[in-house]
Amino acid sequence: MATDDQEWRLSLMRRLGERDRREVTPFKEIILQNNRLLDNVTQLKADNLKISVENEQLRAAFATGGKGNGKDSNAAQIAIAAVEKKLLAQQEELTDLHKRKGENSQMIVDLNLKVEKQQLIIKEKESCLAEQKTANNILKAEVQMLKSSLEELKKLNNTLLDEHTALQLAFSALEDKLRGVQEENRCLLERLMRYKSKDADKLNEENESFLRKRSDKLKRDLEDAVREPNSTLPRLTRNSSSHSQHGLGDSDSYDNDNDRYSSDTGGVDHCLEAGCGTELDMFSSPNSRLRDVLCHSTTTKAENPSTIFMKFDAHENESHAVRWSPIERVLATGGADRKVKLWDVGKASPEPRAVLSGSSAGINSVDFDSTGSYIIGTSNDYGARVWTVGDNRLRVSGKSEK
Amino acid sequence: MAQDREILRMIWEGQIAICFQADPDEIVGLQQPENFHLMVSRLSYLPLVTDKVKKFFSRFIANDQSDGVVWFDYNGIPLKLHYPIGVLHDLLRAEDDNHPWSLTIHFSKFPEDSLVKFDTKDILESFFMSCLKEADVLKHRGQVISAMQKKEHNQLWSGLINDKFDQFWAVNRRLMEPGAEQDTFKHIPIRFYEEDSAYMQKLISPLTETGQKKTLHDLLIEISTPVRNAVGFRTHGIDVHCDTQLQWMSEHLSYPDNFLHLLVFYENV
Repeated sequence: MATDDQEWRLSLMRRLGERDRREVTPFKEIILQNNRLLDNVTQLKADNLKISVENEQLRAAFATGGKGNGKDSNAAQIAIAAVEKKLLAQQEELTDLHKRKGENSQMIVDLNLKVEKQQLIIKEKESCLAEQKTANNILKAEVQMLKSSLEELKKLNNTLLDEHTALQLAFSALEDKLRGVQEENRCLLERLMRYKSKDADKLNEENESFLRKRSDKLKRDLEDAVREPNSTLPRLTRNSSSHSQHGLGDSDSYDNDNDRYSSDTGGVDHCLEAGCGTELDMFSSPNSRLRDVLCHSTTTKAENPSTIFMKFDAHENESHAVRWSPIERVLATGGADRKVKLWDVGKASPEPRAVLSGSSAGINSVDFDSTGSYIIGTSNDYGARVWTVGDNRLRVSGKSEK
Repeated sequence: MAQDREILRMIWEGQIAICFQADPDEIVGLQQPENFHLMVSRLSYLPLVTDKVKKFFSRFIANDQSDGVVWFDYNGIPLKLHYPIGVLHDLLRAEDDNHPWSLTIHFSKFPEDSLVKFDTKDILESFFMSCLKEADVLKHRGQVISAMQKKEHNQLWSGLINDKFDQFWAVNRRLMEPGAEQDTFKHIPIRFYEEDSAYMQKLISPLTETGQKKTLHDLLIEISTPVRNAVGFRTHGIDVHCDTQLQWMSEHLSYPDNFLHLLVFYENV
């Protein structure tokens, strides 16, 4: 009977399952738990009740302990006294503890204050530290920069040193060259001097030979003159004057030998005014001429002047005439600048004493008179002028018509 | 012969969640009792399962009332203590939500006029046994039950109250066997319930006039009156399929008192 017609059976089963799902499953577990918990709760409540009841009983027993009968009242009282003593002790301890607690809290407050102060200090220090760190960083950056600049400078220095050594090498090379060149120069100068001295020697020789010839000639002339005392020598005069002019025009130079001559033979200044000292001034009279020749012949130990005693520029352009003063150490020069100048040569350097002007063209000859107070100058303007030496004033001026 | 063990098992294990509440009038003291929840078997009876509930709630009520007879009500309707709980539930519970069935427990003011006092287990046991005998008389003319010994009767009762399926069905199987000469019961022990909780008991035969096994369909026709038609049955919380055989139903879907308790849905003609 249960096996046929499964359809209604299945539907029955399905419906039973649904019913269970709806009615049973939601509640079963929960209700079980709930009931368990309820049991626990009731148990705990019962226990609680029991304990409180016991507590009450104990308290009641304690409270009514003192009112018990006489037998154990003494014991109870003693117990009570002991308990009271304990209580007092406990109370004292309690007050002590309270006091200590107060002190401790005071200490805590103080410590808190201190801690705050310390924290403030720490904050300041930290800020300082931060500043220092930033400063440090800045300094480090500067150091970095300085190092780099130092590097650059070192490099520069190195390059400069290299340049310096190179330049020094060049310099030493150039010095050597210079020395070499100076050596050459010296050699050349020496050679030049040698050549010049050779030339001078040659000239001296020539002059000496010439002089010898002239002296020979003179001797002959003298002999002739001794034989015939009326002959003159005009042509020598011209030669000597031209020579003297020439000699003076070249350079206003004096030599030691000239001075020597003058010192040796004081009265023969005239014959020693020629530049190289080898010419004779033939303006003097025949007597003097003879004397001159005699002087010249007696003073054959004279040498050619070779060194320059003094050299100075007398005029702006050419100097044409020079003449010693007969009475004093004064020199008169005349030049193309139309002036006659007086120089005082007593000391080492010539001092200009006077400038005599008045000529309108270059002076080509000057002369003192025998007293040395007048000076005459001839110029290219066809005229001649006379000045007084003392006051440098023009006295006489004469010109030819042509 | 009740052989469909699975269905028997499912029927046996059907349970309902009940939430017991205390009567507010009866509470003394300041403590408000919590609601007591319980899962109860559909096949059992209220007085059998409510010992714990009684104990729980008796703390909150006055001492003199705690000895009275306990009764329950649902929405003001007092619950008959000799109906199986499943029957009460299917009958009274409105078709609604998933909450547990909330009943109120009372310790006093037993409604004498609507309930019968089943305060001890013994009274309930004797009622149960009388139901069994009645059912067996309908099924087998009372032969099987009278052939049983006293201890088997006790086994049935103890199997029910202790929730022992095997123990119960070891004996109940014999009660579910068909008669000697035919393979159905003589009559089907069945009770029909409507919304007002008095039941109707009719003499129902498991076979039709033609000798076939009756189905619920036939039963519907049988109990329909000219005024109203029966349109569906419900038992054990389920609507039963109309093709279900009556004999089979009686064997498998009976309550422990061997009766089929069917809720009938009527429609006016």
